[in-house]
Amino acid sequence: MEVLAGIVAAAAPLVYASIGETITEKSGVVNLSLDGSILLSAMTAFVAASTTGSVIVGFAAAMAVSAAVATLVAFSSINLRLNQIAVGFVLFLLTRQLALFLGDSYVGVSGPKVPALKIPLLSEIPFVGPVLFAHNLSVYGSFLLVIVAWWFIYRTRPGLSLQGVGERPEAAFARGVQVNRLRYVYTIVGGALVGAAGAAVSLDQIAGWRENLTTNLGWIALAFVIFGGWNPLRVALACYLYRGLLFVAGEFQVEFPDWIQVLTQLPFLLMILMITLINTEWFRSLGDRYPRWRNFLASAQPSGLGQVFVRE
Amino acid sequence: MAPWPACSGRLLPRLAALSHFLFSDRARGLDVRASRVKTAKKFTRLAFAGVAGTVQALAFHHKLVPSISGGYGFLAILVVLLAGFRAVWTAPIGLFFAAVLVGSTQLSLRLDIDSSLAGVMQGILVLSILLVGGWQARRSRVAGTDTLTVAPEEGSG
Repeated sequence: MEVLAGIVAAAAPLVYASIGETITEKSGVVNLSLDGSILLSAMTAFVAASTTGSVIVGFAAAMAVSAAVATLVAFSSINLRLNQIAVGFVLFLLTRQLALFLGDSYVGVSGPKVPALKIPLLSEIPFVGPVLFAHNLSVYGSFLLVIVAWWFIYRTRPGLSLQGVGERPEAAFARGVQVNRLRYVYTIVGGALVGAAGAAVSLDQIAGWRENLTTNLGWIALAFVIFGGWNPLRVALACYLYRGLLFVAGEFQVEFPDWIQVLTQLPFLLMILMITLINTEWFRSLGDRYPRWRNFLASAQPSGLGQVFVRE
Repeated sequence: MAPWPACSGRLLPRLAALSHFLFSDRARGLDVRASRVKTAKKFTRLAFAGVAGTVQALAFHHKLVPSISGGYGFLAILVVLLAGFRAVWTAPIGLFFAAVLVGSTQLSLRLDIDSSLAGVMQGILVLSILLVGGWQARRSRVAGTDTLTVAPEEGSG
């Protein structure tokens, strides 16, 4: 039970980042600066929270910084029609180096942490309570985000517009949807959630700042968006499975110390195999065979992903 | 075996993120021949990356060390972006980046300034060039003389 609770808590930053990128990509924009944005926002959150003593300010600052980076991605891809991969990649390198440079004097400094907050009554439920409801606001926020994102995308009219601008921007425009305006909004919202991921690391999971604090979190999140078929529920499932696999690999390390170097990399190898599997014809045909599960099993990227929308 | 996990820990998550782009050509509607040609190009690029790794191990460090790549893969992408996908420009730009890299270590030794400042400068430089290029192209579009504004699709693979 403690193990499951640990897995759920450890997956929270990954969930924030993956869902944020899912929302961004659903609108047709790729934000490849993810990994650097998370590191920069983690540093910002730690510095802001240490200075003010408030973790709320830390989260807000982190989200603002990451949203600003996402705005730059949106501006360059929508207004300037630049290659999103190229701009995202340059921003990844820039934000990463900026985080290391600006946060240098805060390495090793102790700072505030998100306080634990058991939810009364719910945390008393046998098994489920300790696993899901004995954490803190940062972890509860990740649960809520998955449910809200899924409900918003698949059950609301604005969610339908979001899918429209990502899948068929021309058709969405013909229906009166402001394609580029929505792309701006969702890229910034997605960026802000990526910022929350950074804050969740430096103010909760690790609670501190050091170089490479969030190593590879952004790349892993990008892989999970693809693995999750741009569906928030499957993306979140991938995050929890990954953390579970990391735990299992850690347990095996105790049993087989000679294989420690191979075991630590095993989750990544499995991830590559899974992504290859979901791109096979067999997996793609599953949605046709089980129509009720089509949304959950879908693995095709949004048709308009990475493409500039130009009003004719 | 020691350097392997250090390198693979960085490599594998990125490979996982990029494997989708490696294996999804068929799904994008390319026929078998076009897909094979594209895949062959991708593996050729990876082969050149192998040459870079070999030079690092056998001609520069003369041994295997953790993080032997030194972030050169990322730096190479910046060089390509700055060169505007023209091979002839990659050599002088690569040389410039090498000078900045060497200078950054001196920066921390002599002036006690964090060496990551060099990375910040490189990032700002490349981003500025991209944005200015995009802005100029936008002005051309507005003026009615459209120019190439989006990098070739090949760059996204």
